[in-house]
Amino acid sequence: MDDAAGAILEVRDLHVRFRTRRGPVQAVDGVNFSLAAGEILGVVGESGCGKSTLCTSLVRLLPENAEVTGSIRYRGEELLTKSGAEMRELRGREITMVLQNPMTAMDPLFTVGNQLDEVLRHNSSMRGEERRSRALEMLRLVHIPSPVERLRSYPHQMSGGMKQRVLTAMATSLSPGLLLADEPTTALDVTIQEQILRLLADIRGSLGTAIVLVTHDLGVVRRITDRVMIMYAGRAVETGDTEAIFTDPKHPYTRALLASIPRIGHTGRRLTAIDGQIPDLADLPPGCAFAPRCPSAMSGCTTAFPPAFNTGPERTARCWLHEGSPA
Amino acid sequence: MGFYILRRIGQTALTAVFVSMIVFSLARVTGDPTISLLPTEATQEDRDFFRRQLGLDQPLHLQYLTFVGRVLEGDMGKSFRYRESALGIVLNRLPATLQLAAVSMLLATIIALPIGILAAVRRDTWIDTLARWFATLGQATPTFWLGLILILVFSVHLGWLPTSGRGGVENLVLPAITLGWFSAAAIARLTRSSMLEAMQSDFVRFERLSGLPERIVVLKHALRNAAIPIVTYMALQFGVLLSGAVVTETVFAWPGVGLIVVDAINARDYPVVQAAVMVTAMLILLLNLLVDLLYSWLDPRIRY
Ligand SMILES: Nc1ncnc2c1ncn2[C@@H]1O[C@H](COP(=O)(O)OP(=O)(O)O)[C@@H](O)[C@H]1O
Ligand code: SF4
Ligand SMILES: [Mg+2]
Repeated sequence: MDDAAGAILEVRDLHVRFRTRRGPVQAVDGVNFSLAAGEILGVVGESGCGKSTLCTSLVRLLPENAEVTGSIRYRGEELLTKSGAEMRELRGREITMVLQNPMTAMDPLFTVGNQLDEVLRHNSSMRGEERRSRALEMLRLVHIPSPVERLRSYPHQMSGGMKQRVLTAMATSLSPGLLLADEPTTALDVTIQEQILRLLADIRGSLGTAIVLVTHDLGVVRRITDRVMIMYAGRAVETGDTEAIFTDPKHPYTRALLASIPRIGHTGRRLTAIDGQIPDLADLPPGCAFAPRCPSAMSGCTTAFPPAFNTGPERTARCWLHEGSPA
Repeated sequence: MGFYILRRIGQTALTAVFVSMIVFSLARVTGDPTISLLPTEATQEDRDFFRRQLGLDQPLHLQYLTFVGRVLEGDMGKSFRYRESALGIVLNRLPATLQLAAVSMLLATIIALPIGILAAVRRDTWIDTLARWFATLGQATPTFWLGLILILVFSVHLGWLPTSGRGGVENLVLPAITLGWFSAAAIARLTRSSMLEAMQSDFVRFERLSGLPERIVVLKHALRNAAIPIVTYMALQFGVLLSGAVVTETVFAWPGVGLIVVDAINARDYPVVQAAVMVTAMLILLLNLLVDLLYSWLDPRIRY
């Protein structure tokens, strides 16, 4: 991955460590990636490998027991040194996020219109009427039927899929440069999942928003992402162009993930179990964290942690099998 | 919404009937009134005559209906001691009790809400620790003891405030603090925990992600959500204050319903006790109804 000059987001050597009673938990461990404007990056990995932590660190909203080091550059500006007020300026306007569970992501006591309006009021200088028409425009963009009535509804009067679309509208109402979507469909019905994902792809198309899409659904990743980052135990074990990774996975973990997709069945392809357990992030084994589960493990794998080897154009894999490639 | 209100009013009416039954049967199980009311040398004929006079020879359900009919006319019998309407005596004293309870509640709320909110926002800092101490100490302080200490310090030693009676604001200060103290502590504690819970919710996270200012996130969204349990609890506390006024009114000789109930119990003046129980119970019922209506206003999930 080169220093793309046109990159909207550049993450270098990002580490996130949580202080816990059980000792430090290294949830993100030396992650590098960059994202061009309007690009969709898929982030894939089993639960607990640090995907949510990675997303949350990008908007600087991690809990207080988190220590973050490295560099996060958004449009060339370092985010890790920004003040709270400066970050608040960016959130909602430039960088936004949709969460996993739409059912609880809206305040149950206020109408949809009120909450949409609030986001616009605090992030822009639009006047009342302007905000209202913008809100309606956004609801139409996310295909909400009878948007005028919807503005007056309360969250509990809407289905999960509709809520997620409204939340997506809120998150994109000011044409942000970057949208973080952390498993936006996991809590939804299979039929609805498809609609939301198509919506995200549409938004990239119409607003030019770059998207980090965290998902378990490899079928989705293949269809709508441009590039993929496979995470294991806080590390980006393989990155590269989506099609290249799907046709020729280099890392044994990626291969295992791809092998776990059921061959038949078109939607809802979740990661089925790979033999063995993900390691305890508070107590990582030395060397490659995947070694205990890796069919190709060699004796040297447990002594040193593999660096990112270049396995092709704009491709990396952290695996000793590719030691010959330039690091 | 209309249906919800109607149902709640229906429930309140039912509960009121239930309360009246309890009050009625309390009067019956406190013993044969002919024994306490007639001189010991009264003959059996005297007693029978008296029982007929009081309607005690009638079947129980007829007695109850007569009782309800009288209550609806505002007649709960005459005080044995003062030979006046028992209900009149209680209603006369009611404003004093309501005033004391209302001022205590106001004071408690004004103190407790900011403490609870601040403790939640500054969780695990010295502010939070201080607030938790306040809540624990406040809830552990016996009311009569606090009243006596306040009198000792502010009335006897410093001579700033009167020890007893009802009059101007200066008479209200110590009783209101005494009565409201426990509630302030309890409300502060509940505010803190409700706020903490609300601030953990997904929508608060999403609002922060959406760039809303912290003051809007905390004071508009988290607080409004936390307010639902707090308001319910405050109404309960107000009921507790109304009935708990007995101790405070006794300590400060505050001429309210509590004081008169204590007097009436000592004098076995049952009609007055009955009237006081009835009035307090009805007030609390009404209060609960009011809170439920407020609740439905606060929470759209109930409204629709
Ligand atoms: N606030 C926190 N304090 C301590 N550990 C945490 C905290 N948040 C997440 N973790 C730990 O960090 C690791 C990564 O979690 P997460 O980012 O949620 O993974 P994912 O989203 O991939 O499922 C997990 O081991 C989790 O237990
Ligand atoms: S470094 Fe070794 S153990 Fe780790 S994935 Fe590669 S081959 Fe497997
Ligand atoms: Mg997650």
